[in-house]
Amino acid sequence: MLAKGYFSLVLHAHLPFVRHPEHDRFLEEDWFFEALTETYLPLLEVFEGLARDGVHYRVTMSLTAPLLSMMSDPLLQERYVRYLDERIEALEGEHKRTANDEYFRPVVEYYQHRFHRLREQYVDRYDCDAIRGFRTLMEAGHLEIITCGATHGYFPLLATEEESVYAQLSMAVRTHERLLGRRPRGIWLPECGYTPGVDRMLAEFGIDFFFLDSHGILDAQPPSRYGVHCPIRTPGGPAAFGRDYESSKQVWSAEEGYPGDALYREFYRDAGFDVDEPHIRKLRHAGIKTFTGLKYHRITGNTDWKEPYHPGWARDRAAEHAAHFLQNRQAQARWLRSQFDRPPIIVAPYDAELFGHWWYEGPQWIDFLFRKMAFDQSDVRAITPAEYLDRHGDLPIAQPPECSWGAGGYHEVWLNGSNDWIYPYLHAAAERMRALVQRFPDAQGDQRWALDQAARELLLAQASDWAFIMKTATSVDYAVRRTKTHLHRFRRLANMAEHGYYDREYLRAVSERDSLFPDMDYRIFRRGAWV
Amino acid sequence: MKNKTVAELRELAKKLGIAGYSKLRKEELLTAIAAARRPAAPKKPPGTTAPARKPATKTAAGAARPGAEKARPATVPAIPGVADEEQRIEGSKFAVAPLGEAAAARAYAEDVDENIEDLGTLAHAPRLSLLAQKPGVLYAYWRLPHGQFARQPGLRLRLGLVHDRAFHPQAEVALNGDQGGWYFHVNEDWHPEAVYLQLGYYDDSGAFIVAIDRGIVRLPRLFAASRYGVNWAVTSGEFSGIREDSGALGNQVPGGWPQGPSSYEHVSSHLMSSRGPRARDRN
Repeated sequence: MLAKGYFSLVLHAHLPFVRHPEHDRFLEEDWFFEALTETYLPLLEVFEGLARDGVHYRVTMSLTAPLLSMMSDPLLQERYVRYLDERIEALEGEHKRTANDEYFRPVVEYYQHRFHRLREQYVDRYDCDAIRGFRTLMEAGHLEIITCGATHGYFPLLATEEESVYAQLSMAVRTHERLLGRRPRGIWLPECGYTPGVDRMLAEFGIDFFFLDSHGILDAQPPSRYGVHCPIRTPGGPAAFGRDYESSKQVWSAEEGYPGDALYREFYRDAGFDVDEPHIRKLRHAGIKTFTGLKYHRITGNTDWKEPYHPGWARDRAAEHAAHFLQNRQAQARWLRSQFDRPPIIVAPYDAELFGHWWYEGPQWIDFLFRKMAFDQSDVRAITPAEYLDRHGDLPIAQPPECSWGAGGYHEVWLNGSNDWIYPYLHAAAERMRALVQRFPDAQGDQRWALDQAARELLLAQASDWAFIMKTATSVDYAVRRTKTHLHRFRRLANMAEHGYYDREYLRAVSERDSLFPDMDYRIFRRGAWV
Repeated sequence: MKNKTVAELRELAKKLGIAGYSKLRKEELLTAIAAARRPAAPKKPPGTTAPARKPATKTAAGAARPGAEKARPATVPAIPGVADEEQRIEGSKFAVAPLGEAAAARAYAEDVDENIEDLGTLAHAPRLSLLAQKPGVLYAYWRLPHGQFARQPGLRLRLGLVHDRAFHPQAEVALNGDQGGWYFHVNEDWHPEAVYLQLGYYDDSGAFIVAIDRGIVRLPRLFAASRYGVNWAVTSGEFSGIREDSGALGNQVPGGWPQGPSSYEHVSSHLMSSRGPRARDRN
């Protein structure tokens, strides 16, 4: 039976490369461990459950190169198991502490059960390699995995030197192929940052499609009569899918969005700040309090007073919200189909970390959504963008404007008073890298080593996360430090390559720390695909 | 401080003008008081040649930056400076502490023999660059060889439109160092390919001697009316807020400037020599 419309859930999973072998533990590595615990592993569990139960579903996920690299890194794998074990141990202490607390005891027991299951999933099922889980689902056809920029560089602000964009694409495609065994068919542009010309570059890497925020499609020239509900074909060749505004608003919006519901778990209350006991203090980083992931409260309302979390009620609410979402998509699909000569596609992209990490019940919501979509109705069918292109390849041709999905719709998040200082340095470094590639087209030995490492440093400096953090002021010192460190290292290594004097000790120290992209080739900094 | 009673802490909070102090628990009171007492950092003079980051903007959050503006007390459930809900959620993957909780200053142990503050001088050749921030706003930055700014006083940056084979200046600002940037307001009706930058100085006769110029690479659509009725173009009024947030630098020339003869037969680049600037070749 032909559906009225298609639904594409797109999850963009990314974290900047944070790995500090020089310290026994490092606070910012917790970003990765928290995301594994609350987003990536729970999502895998949901997807595997759907597959096991024979539920039809399709999800498109971008897994960025830094994230893939962290997932496959033995040191971080080991540290993650330690992270889990420490929480399991802390929960024993919590269990004793809440022996007579009828409100919080059940929550503690819930977490104990959960963390044991997570450990089983990670250590026993995946042998500490989360990529294994994604790959299995990909090979079974449920999950389409697409790529992103190599270090999530923001293309419109890097494109003054096209070599930077080519390098970001090269290394991303290479890493994707190396760790997943196939070339990516689609890409999630970092922050959906697009500028005309990028379409042509994507085509050189064999990429068929990418995504834009709604206004990227609506403001394309000439305008498409399908609005965002059919992709457009860019002059360079790849298709661009537009974000559906309504489905985004239902999830993101502060007033109407699901995550703010009173029964859901409260993000900002954590045992690390509420409980001052030895077994919790052990989880601190050098005595500094941080989130532990043991969050016992529900949102309750717009008050400071928070009630205890009740997993069962929250789960029921997630089911309600899934039903509500699906109903709206059905109405949307039916109406759109009546206007179009083809089934519309409703593309709903989100940051993966929204589900689970920010909105704890998010993965459960996804679970309910696909089950209801498969069994309770037939208006809407889950699809991947690639499948849509295979069925409906004749698309209107249009050129999108320069835009992004960031706040404001353009570049101001990454270019404003807090972070504009970085761009002269990034551009100068890219110019210098281009000159080095031209000057030394076939470097060997130490020179090759220095140039490859310089290329790594430059890619790491280009991560848009640093500029984003500087703007949103969560860990500004760390972001500034990372930017300066990579720019400084780039410069020293470029000097070495030019002058011919190699400080091997420095090279080794830096290579051990900034160890991303084992198959780096500095010549990716050139115009034209070099894969 | 920790030994004070809740009542005493509440008194103190009241004196410090902390909102909602009567509803805070002891821990929250301690946090809020500590944040209210942190002294504001002296504003760094803009445009210093050391590659320090820009001074704290008006909208910076106090939580993560030591010495930045006062952190808001724990009762306020909003991250200062981040109006957009989506951005707040996106930023949550980097959050390691609740809102209003001061992230303690950490010392990062140096374990590689390097000084990351040493980013070198930027320019071997001088350079002007244009980046689009959004419809209505362009960011221009310059890089000069080390010491050039001191050797050539009176350097200015001009933004203008090229049409009818002439350069028509629209805005102008004085440089304040070898490197820096400036946000320019751009009108909706300007054609992206007509926007040009010039860096140079006025000679004694009032002619503007161009040392470097730069054409536009790309601009976002300056006026984009989407179906959702949102007008993205920035008005002049909104723009002054953007300018303020980025920190004032240089002396903006108010209103008119000498309309020296400027002929644009072709666009070309002239590098400034270290022996001093040369008059632009006129064909």
